[in-house]
Amino acid sequence: MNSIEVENMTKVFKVLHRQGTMKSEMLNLLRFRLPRREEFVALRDISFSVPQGQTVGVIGRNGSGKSTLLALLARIYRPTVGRIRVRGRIATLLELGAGFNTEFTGIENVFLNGVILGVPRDELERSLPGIIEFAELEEFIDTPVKHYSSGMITRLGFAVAVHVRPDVLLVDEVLAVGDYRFQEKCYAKIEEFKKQGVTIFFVSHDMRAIQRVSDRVLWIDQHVVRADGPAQEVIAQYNDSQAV
Amino acid sequence: MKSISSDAGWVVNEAQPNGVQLFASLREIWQYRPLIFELVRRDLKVRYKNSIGGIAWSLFNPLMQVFVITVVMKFLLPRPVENYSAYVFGAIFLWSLIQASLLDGCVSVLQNAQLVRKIYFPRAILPLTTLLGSFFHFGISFVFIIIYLFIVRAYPEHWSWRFFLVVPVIFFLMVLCLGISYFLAYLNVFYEDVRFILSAFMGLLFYALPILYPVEKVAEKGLLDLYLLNPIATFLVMFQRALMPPPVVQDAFGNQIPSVGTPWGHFAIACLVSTLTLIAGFALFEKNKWQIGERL
Repeated sequence: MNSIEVENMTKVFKVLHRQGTMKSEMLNLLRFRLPRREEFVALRDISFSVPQGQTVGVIGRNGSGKSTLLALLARIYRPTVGRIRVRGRIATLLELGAGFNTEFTGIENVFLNGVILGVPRDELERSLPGIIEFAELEEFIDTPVKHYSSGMITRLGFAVAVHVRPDVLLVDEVLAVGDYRFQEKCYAKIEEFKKQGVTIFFVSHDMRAIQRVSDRVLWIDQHVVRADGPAQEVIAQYNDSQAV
Repeated sequence: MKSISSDAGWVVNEAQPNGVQLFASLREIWQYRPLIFELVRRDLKVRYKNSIGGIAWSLFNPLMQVFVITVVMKFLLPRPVENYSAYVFGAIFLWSLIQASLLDGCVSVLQNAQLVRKIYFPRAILPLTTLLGSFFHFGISFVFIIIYLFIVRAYPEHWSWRFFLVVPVIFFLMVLCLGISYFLAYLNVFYEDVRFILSAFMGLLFYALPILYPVEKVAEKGLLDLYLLNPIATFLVMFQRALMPPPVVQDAFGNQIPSVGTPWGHFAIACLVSTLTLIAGFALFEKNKWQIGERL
């Protein structure tokens, strides 16, 4: 059974070059100068499907379209052509602590962030002790988040996201932060998810991390899928192409 | 053609050439009630956090305005109006509600850009949550309006069944503000100038509403029908009439100016205009919601 299906999907962004104020745009309209619109193809004719429980690593150079693909899977953007289907509850870790309010305490942010990720309040109340323990923030959980270090925010963000109990987890380069021990903890959690049959979509520049967790790797280059196959093979191909 | 059953259990994200599906959007917003609730809670907490006085401070500003207007009008109106401060009091708090819902509604999407860029949820809940926050705040102020009316002994003497008109008046006022907020929030994503134009416009609107002066002064000049074409003015007059009977206003010679009753006809029109504004604003917002996400 498939968990993610992407069919002939193309994403085009319209980039406005003359993005001025309303006044300057009005004046330009009066001078019959329409704003210059340029189309930018971020992803071209992408098709793939992911069976349930598979962990897919996505690699590619900066600006190749990896993060755009993740945002499309997360429904932040709509495809220009084609369609994407994802089965079940999606948890996105596109940025840790997105949706945190720095004036609020740790606990208040757990509830805010959890509900934003789609977890009912009572479910959050039940998993609260687990979240606090995972984040190792017992002492500071009633402190406003503005006094947290960036590592602490990362820990809390990850702890909330993994307690969402997703069917599909989308992760974008967020494990690079945090100290070694916490990273290990996150990998252990990802392994646990894999055993539970959670489908994971993982974007990273860290080849070791990709190799460690992925069953399959998708290499995106110049906005198209350049290679799609077993992790070892695709990573080897990628490394060969980079070693010039 | 794909069959609908094949999508069961799937979250579908596809290029949609077949336009806007307003009812599907409404159903989705309804499903996101917990998030709406949580975001309203967040907004209110932010508003009342870090200040000891909390709610008391937010009442201070309107109170000062009431005081100034009442004192100034004592000099400007040729004859004093009985209980004038009671009329001003209600009007000022309603004005605060209008101001807050439009100004906050305008920036509601932009302020939550961080969320919009990172997490999926129906974007249309942002202006809605902002509005609910302002409304909650008004609820607190409303208690103070009632207390004030008792303090100046306007109540219980002037209380009547009309009081319950407050409910439909506030409801349709909120409908109108939400509709306008959808327009403004959408425009403000593309042009941040909208916010500044709006606050300048709010300064003008203040004088086009019967807050500083009784509406009878407008009727005296024969401009009432034109004046009440502004639905906000109608709602404000309705609100005042719901709380109190029309004031007794005299001209310079001590003759009473004919008082303005409850403007039922204009109220009906205003309700209709408000509903249409909301439908149009929501449709515009929904039509462009994906564009909003890409521009933030």
